[in-house]
Amino acid sequence: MTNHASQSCGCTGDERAPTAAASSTRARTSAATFQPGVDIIESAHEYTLRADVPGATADSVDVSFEDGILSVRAAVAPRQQDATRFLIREYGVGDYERSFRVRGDIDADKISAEIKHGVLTLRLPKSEEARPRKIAVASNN
Amino acid sequence: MLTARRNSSCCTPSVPAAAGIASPFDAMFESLLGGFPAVAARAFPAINAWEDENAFHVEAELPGFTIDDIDISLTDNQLTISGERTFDLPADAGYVRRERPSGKFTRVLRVATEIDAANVAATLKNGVLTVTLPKAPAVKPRKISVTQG
Repeated sequence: MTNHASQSCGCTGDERAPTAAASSTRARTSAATFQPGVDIIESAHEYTLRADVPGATADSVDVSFEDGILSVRAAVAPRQQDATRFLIREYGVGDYERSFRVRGDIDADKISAEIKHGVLTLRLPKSEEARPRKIAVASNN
Repeated sequence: MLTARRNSSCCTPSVPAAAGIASPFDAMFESLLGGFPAVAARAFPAINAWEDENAFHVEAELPGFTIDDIDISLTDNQLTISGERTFDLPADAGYVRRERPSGKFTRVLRVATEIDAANVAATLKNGVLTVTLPKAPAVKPRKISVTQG
């Protein structure tokens, strides 16, 4: 995704890339932290953010919005023992963490989050002022 | 043994590129913190596999999938995992960031050990697929009892 495209959405990613999740108050469950892949969709009334967080559950996810920064964290415990001898190892298992600066005008009180099949969906409704309005045109006839 | 054919995977994104997936930033992040070798060309889904005395275990991260979206087959010592993930986009909406892969995928793993094919089992939980391939009785380690002569 180009910078140009992300700016047009009012959201820029990775400005506060987590460094070993030092700021997290959640107890660390594993050694590594990963950035989930994210889609952001804009409609007239809201932004929808979807993040692939396989292995995470509703209990393990933390979403916060503070000072224009939307932060998503999900704790994922190791699924295999340390001693497991892998034949193929293409990914690591660990916590997810990612933050976005949201520049669009959103109604922070109405942010909602849902997780299903390892996909986290956040809905960020735009504030009333930011929504497109229909202006009624009076007829003079 | 299990070997993955990385190149045989065909993931066809419905947009030009899932840019975030291949971005240098993500890759750097993982190789620094992940503690495992970075994979040069990412196949979807990424796979982990391990072995114990009785079975091979294959795990794949498939967020957003239900078991109905995934086909698993074992033929001629090849385990094939395939499926499709599609996203619906409302008519009045547009993507402003797109990183999650979508489309059809196939991954083929070669299993060079005889498998008890009738007892292969798969579970999908929170977007994590686990396939268990029990070894055929003939190839399991046997305990030989030693009797006192």
